[in-house]
Amino acid sequence: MRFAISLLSILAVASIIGTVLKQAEPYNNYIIQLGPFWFRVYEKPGLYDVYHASWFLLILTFLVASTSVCITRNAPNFAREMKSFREHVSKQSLNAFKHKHEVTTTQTPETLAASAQRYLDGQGYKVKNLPRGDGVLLAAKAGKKIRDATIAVNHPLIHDDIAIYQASFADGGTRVTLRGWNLFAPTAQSFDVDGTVRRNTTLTSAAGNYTLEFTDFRPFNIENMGGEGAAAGDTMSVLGGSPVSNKKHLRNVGPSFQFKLRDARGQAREFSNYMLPLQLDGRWFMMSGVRESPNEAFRYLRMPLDAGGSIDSFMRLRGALLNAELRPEIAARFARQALPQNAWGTAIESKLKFSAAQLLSLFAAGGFQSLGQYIEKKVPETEREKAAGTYLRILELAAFEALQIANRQANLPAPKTDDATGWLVRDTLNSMSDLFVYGAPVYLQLMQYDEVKASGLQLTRSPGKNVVYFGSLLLTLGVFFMLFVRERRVWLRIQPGHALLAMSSAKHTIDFEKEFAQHAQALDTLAQ
Amino acid sequence: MALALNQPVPLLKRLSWFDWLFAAIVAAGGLLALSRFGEFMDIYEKAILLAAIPSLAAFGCFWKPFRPLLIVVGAISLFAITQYHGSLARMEEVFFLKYLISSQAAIMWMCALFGLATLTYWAGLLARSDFMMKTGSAITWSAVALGYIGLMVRWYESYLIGTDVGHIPVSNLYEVFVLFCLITAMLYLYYEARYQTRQLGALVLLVISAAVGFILWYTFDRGAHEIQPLVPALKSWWMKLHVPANFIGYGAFSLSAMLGVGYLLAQRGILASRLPRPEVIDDMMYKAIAIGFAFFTIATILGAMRAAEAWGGYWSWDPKETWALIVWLNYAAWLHIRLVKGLRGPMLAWWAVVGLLVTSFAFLGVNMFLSGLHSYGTL
Repeated sequence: MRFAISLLSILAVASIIGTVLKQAEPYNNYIIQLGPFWFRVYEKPGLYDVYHASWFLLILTFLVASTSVCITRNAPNFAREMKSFREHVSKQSLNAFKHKHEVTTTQTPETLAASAQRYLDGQGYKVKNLPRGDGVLLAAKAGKKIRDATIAVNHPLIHDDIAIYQASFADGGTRVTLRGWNLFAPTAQSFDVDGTVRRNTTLTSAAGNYTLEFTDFRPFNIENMGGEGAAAGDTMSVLGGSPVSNKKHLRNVGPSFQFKLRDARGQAREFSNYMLPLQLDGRWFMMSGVRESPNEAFRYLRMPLDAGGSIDSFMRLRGALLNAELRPEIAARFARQALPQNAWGTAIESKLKFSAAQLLSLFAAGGFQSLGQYIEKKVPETEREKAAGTYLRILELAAFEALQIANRQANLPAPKTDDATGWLVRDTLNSMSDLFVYGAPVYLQLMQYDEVKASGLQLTRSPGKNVVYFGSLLLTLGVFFMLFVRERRVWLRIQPGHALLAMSSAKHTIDFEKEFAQHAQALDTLAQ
Repeated sequence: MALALNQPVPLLKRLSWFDWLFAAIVAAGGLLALSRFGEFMDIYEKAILLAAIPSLAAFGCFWKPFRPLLIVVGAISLFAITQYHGSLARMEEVFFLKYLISSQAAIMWMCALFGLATLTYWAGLLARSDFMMKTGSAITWSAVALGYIGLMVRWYESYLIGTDVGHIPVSNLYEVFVLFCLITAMLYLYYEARYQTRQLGALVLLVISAAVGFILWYTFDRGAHEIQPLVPALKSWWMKLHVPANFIGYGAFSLSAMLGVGYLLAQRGILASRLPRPEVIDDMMYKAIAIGFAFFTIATILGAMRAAEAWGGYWSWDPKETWALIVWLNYAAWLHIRLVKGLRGPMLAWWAVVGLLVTSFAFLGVNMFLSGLHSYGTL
């Protein structure tokens, strides 16, 4: 009792702290929330992780110790009590029972004892027949398990105790094979990376070294893919609506892996890349999510796939557009395509070539954003919209030429002039523009994985597992026996001429009253 | 007088033909499911399915009204499923589905019937009408049946959305609230028959009605009834045991709190002539807490086992876990005082009532105010 109450109050205090203060957050969050002074004050008693604070563990240890002492002191008593029939009761003590029933009888003590013993046997009692000076004492008991239970219930924290020292994690070290691209290199060249979740790898680049920290791997992700559902209607909205949302399209979009890319200054961004492409607006994209802090949602970079379902065309075109050496050629080809033959070699052509090259270099330096700044600076306000449209058109056509050149250089057939290629070029331009805010100089595509689940690792990490299972089993059995096995004792003191029935139980439920009434009635019948 | 000497009849002789028929139906259903869908189950799920057959059969023998309930729920659920023809759109087209037994329709019927049952029980209690109270029982039974049908059909619907989305409907706050209503009602109906007293229905149905009110608010205001994909941590056979066991606990504790209210009322002479004797209420209260405590213990242990697998530690002092422990200790202390110290009376009744606050905080408050590993139940 005192044990339970004191444990309860400590837990209550600790959980109030846990309620007010979010536990086990990154320290930075606490500093922001509390300010540097209070941060240190709160840190002293370990309030950010109350349940692992030394004072908390100390109290817990004390409670476990006091319970153990209590058990060792009382267990022998319980055991003795359990075995005994309490045969040394006197007539006076039986008379003091609350549940007693006295009858007069004409039978001899022996006959009555024999018939009563048969009756009690039939009711599931274990009966002992003890001769007493002037008669017989029957001592009987049923449902003896109750005492075990009380013992078992007194150590509730056994399985919690072991657990306190264990950390938690989700992925057990999945191995991933990745293909990476340097996003700002003027080539489509890729490189291979191998990694293991929860380990780090170093990436070397011209801009300095990056640490690649693989944080998690998820074998499946169910995402809302937009799109219109089928079910929607009037009655359903009366009934609270359909359980199938009409705005949502949930689908498993396959595996993803998460990593942090930390630069030489120690600043990191978190990325989440999907292995499989997703279909958005009818076209297929590779998705890569990025966020600056764990509290934000991921923003996604989408890279278009070509007709062959590969990201390579995107990477080729990106490389070509970033390649300053190719720009004169791209501009020349573009101008030739854009102008009628009679304008070739004129001043118009060289002007067009010049602006195409200029646009390409502006775009390569900062995407649509730098293009926008350029327009704002050079073009009067009234003509901006028109200029933007023209520039965009030039950029798209030039990019198409760039793709032709890139394909030729890679010894691939020329791209088809169709809608699909048009979208590919447009999406590539959009995606490239986003690269400038993507925040990583590389894109890592998940090629292969070999999943290692945390559970596999867990088995080896908990040496006390069998003890825990056994303890849990005991606890469960104990609770069930305590609550659902009713220990009852019956005494029948028979003397010549009359008999005294007495009954006791640890639990005076209504069932017990009924049973006593039944035994009393039976004795009446037997004694006749 | 010879009656008193009757020996208890052996178990096998006590079983009627209906018990055997019921066991046969359960076994046939379970084995059919195993043969048809066994290839999609892992070893644990198969073990749960096989263990469910004798458990359900035995439970049917122990509590007789469970047999017709299971048969009715099974038959109507199967009928509902056949009406879908694999297309969710039929939910809007087929009369039965649209108005009666699509998951949402059935759950809304359940809500309406629980409301009606509350009114009927109160009318019966105030008018001392046994007929009204019997009607209340019947309505409660219908509500329970419809609620289970709703959950079963919802289970099927979730798989129609996508095989990756499909899961047992005990995974978010909306679904477990439905489960809570059903379990509390079933526990009450059991004790109602056992103690031959219907008067307490008026009180117990109040707490169910409160839960129904929450379900309605949650549906209309938050759209919580929409089937959501499962959080990866919950994708396990274990959830199929942990959540129901937990809700037997929550349901029983809520039941005992309402019985506590009944005890206090009866003791103060309010409605005393209409309610059962305080000793009877006290006995029911003890039994309810005992059942709840036993299942809550199992649920907590199962939770710890699963936590070890999913998060790498048996116990991580996540707010939900901490509060589960507080609830557990609260009722452990209650039982300890009653069993070991032999205390009875208003103090325990008050304690059971206060216990409802602790339980509802663990159940709802934690989700509202705290966050942690159990955040898939957020409000």
